[in-house]
Amino acid sequence: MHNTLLTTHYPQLTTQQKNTMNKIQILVIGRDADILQAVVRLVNKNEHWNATGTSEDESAIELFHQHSYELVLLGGGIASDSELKLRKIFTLQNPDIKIIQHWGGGSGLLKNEIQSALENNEGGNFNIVDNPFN
Amino acid sequence: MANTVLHKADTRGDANHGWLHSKHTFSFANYYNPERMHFGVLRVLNDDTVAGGKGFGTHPHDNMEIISIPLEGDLEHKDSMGNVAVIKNGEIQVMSAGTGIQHSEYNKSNNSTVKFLQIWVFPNKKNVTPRYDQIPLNLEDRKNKLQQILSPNPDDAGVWIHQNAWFHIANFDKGITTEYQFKAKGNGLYVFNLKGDLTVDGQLLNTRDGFGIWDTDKVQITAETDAEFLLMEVPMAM
Repeated sequence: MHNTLLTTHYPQLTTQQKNTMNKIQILVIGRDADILQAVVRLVNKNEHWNATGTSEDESAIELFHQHSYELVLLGGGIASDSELKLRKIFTLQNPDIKIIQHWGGGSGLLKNEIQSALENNEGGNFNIVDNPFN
Repeated sequence: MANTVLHKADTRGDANHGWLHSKHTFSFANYYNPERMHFGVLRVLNDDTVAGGKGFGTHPHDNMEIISIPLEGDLEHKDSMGNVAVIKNGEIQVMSAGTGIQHSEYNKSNNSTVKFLQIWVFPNKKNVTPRYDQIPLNLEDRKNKLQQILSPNPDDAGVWIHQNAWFHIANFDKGITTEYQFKAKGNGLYVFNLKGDLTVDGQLLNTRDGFGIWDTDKVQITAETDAEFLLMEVPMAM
């Protein structure tokens, strides 16, 4: 399967990149390349958020190990066994990580979902599993 | 005892983009109110007015049941499954976004506005095969009675969705009363009053007011004036 990875790494940090590092880092995982691209673009329209998108689990796990994310957005097309695996791995590495299902595919719900999750509000996101081992 | 929530029309989120004027019953886009996120699995109720010749360009959706009910004018729909259609007042359109779909919606007319309700319901199954449907409704079937326009069953009246939900629409003369019986235990009913005055279990609703009621199995509805309204019965939990 072709992996869509929407991120950039630089050996030397520019001022712009330093500003990016100060933003809330969000990992977006979704199987549909067009939707993934739309979600990343929409998240990045918010000046306080910085999204990295990937379509593959292995890439998501690697990114999660390498970077400090505050929120993981699970998009469409992720099978339940994949979702459970990702939730377990992410939670083991960071028990405070917020993992939410994004519904609608880059829709008018996106901003609300992220805002609610960051404020620890249930916010209508029905699939929140803070700790899959509980 | 039944639980209720009242959403007066003038408390809805208001987004005026010039070409689009939308009233959001629940949090949507730049309207964010933690107290107004959803009613059970009913997540979006947008009351949209689109200017002539304008509309929503191609954009993606996934994992959502999306229902459009035109109230005035004609709306042109195109999607990535090859569907090209025009929906008008008296019809209902449904899309199961599932694994992913791209679509656009435009006002077919260059001169007059189109008004429609955009309703989103969380599906009871993720990653389904995307589907689209559109059907005409007989306006006579809602005169002084409840007309079912949506259900979970492909063989039942109206369109169907991946959710244990039933929608009805009605056009009552003043003084007409009916009792709505819930179809499924654990469901709630969201009443959206399109026009006129209604009482729902004693609660007065004016035009465009919304009222949710749950933890009960029936609801009494009376038209205080000539009235048109939409009933949305939905699960209160996934």
